[in-house]
Amino acid sequence: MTDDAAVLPPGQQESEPAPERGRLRGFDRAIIEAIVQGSPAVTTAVAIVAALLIGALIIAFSDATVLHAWGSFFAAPGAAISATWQSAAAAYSALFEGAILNPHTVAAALHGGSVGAIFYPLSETASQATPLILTGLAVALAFRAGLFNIGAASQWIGGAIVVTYLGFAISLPPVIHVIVCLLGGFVGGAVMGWLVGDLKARTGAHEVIVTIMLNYVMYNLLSYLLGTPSALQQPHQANLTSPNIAADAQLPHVGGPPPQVGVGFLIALAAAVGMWWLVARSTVGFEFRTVGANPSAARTAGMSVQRTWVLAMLLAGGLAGLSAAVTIQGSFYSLNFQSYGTYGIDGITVALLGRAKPLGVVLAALLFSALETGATTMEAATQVPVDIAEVIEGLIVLFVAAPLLIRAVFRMRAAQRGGMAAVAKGWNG
Amino acid sequence: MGLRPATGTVRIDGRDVTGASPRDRLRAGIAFIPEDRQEDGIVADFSVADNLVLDTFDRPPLAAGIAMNRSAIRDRAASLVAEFDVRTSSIDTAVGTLSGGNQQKVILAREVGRRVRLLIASQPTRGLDVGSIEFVHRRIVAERDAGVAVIIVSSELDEIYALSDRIAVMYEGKITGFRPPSVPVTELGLLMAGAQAEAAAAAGAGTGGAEAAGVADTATDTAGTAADTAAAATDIAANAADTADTAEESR
Repeated sequence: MTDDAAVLPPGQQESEPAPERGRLRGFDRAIIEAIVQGSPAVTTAVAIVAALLIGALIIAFSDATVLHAWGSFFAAPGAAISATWQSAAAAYSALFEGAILNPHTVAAALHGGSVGAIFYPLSETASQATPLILTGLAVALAFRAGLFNIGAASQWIGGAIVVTYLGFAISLPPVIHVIVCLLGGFVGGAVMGWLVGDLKARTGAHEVIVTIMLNYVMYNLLSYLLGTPSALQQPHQANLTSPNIAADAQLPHVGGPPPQVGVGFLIALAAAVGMWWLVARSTVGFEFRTVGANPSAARTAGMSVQRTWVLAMLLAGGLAGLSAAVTIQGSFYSLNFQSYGTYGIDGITVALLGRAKPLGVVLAALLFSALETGATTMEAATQVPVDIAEVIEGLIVLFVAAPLLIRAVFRMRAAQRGGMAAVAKGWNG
Repeated sequence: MGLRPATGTVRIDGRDVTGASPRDRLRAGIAFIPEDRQEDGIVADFSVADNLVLDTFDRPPLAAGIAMNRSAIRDRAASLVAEFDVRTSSIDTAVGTLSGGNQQKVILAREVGRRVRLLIASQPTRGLDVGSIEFVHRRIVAERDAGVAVIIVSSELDEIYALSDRIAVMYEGKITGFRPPSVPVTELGLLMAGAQAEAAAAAGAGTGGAEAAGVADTATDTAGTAADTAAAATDIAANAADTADTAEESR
């Protein structure tokens, strides 16, 4: 080797945009660290209780009876307070009965009624939670590798298109058809995820931008396919909906009727266990976590950061695609904007609340699903609109996320200060 | 990490690893102690055990297929912690909570705890306490005695004098000369200063094993940024690795 080889090209020291050490610990990494490490479970519990309390106040003070009672607060303060309590308590107990357990069904069962009816609300909650668990896992898995997967919605659509097509257009023997559709959903979502990971690995395109834009692309593609009879639209239909998938491709239910657990719920739980094993016990997950925690050290230790990004996005997309599969094969049986729902976006909040951990995601999805399932009963019983469930969900996320955000900001500042101090003093042994 | 020569080749035991991935270079027997240990050397939130297997976690016996063998990892971590005198309350402690000296011992243990042929250590004792410096120096010399080629990149002249068999001095990214460790400090200083008084200074040192010739050098561009320095140093490390190889061949 000649001496020239050792010489940096003239001007390189100036023109090369050497990243400052402080900036390497960017805001996104600080946020991900804050989410993954999280705060104690107590904080989450406090956030939930606080959100429920504020929700109670909103319920009570949108009730005309309560407002009227407060109008004469100084004449009868006790009446105002008890009216508030009663209004909120009635709404919440209806919500609880609709989502978890209705004491009347227990009483009825004791007097010879249906025992199964006791578990009906719980089975509804589980069924609602199924797609949420999977999109939550899709976001959580990417988080562990240091990636923000905002694209569970587009990955869901990617999976849904494949599932629906395989479901109604081909005929296969019963069990095989179910499995082929599930795999198809996983692959459809995985392709969408892979696209994002590959773009990031090759060009450095930030996954947040790419996934958000792909959400629009896929939403409009879905809209086009569902409105085109030669594509996915049900023939002789004006509505944007696909034909029903074949009975052979539908996921069976265990138990029931009426209380029954869809096989999709079991698949979601299995996926959660699978993700736990992958992240905590496998070499693949070790690379995910290392790249997520410190990409520079991962690279130095010989890991391929790019390959990890691609693989993490591919698996995350697959989970979102699986969510589409269990939604379409397990409950809606056709693809339309009703079955599309808001699972992709809700998956982000579920992953956030669940601290990007599989068990946390399952619990968070069950909580959100319980709020939404119970809200229907609540509206029927007390005229409190179902939207209050979303208000409470929003408050929970706000209370959980705000401290994380604040901590992330402080962490980043501390890191920057630390970085500068280190330059000034060296690292103290 | 690093090792991107502008021209020439990097060979380990005659095997060309010029275009190889970092993983393949590690597997070929290169051990690397990075200059910025917080950024490149450790994952602060990971346990001591996980940091000790950061580059060997997927090889038998630590893993079978993609399943990690947790007890094998713990056994290996425990023995490395004992061998390298890492002061930690347990192998499950987050490595970020350890002192700088103990973090560096974790990195050293990880890098030379496996079979290596070439050790590249960049600023191996920067910011460490006296005890840790002593330990790190002893281990590096022990590697040299075991026949490992060692390249040390350092801005500490004392360190260079203490460890080197040959000293290469860099100035503005270019090696200005090789000297034995008996070279007077004034001569080294002149080489480091190049022609211009206010220019960036660079100095390095290396220990050559009894078998493999070690070459050493480095660049510390006091005027430039840390990143510049790292780039220059890696460039030179590649150069030196090449030279080491050449030296071996010509022997």
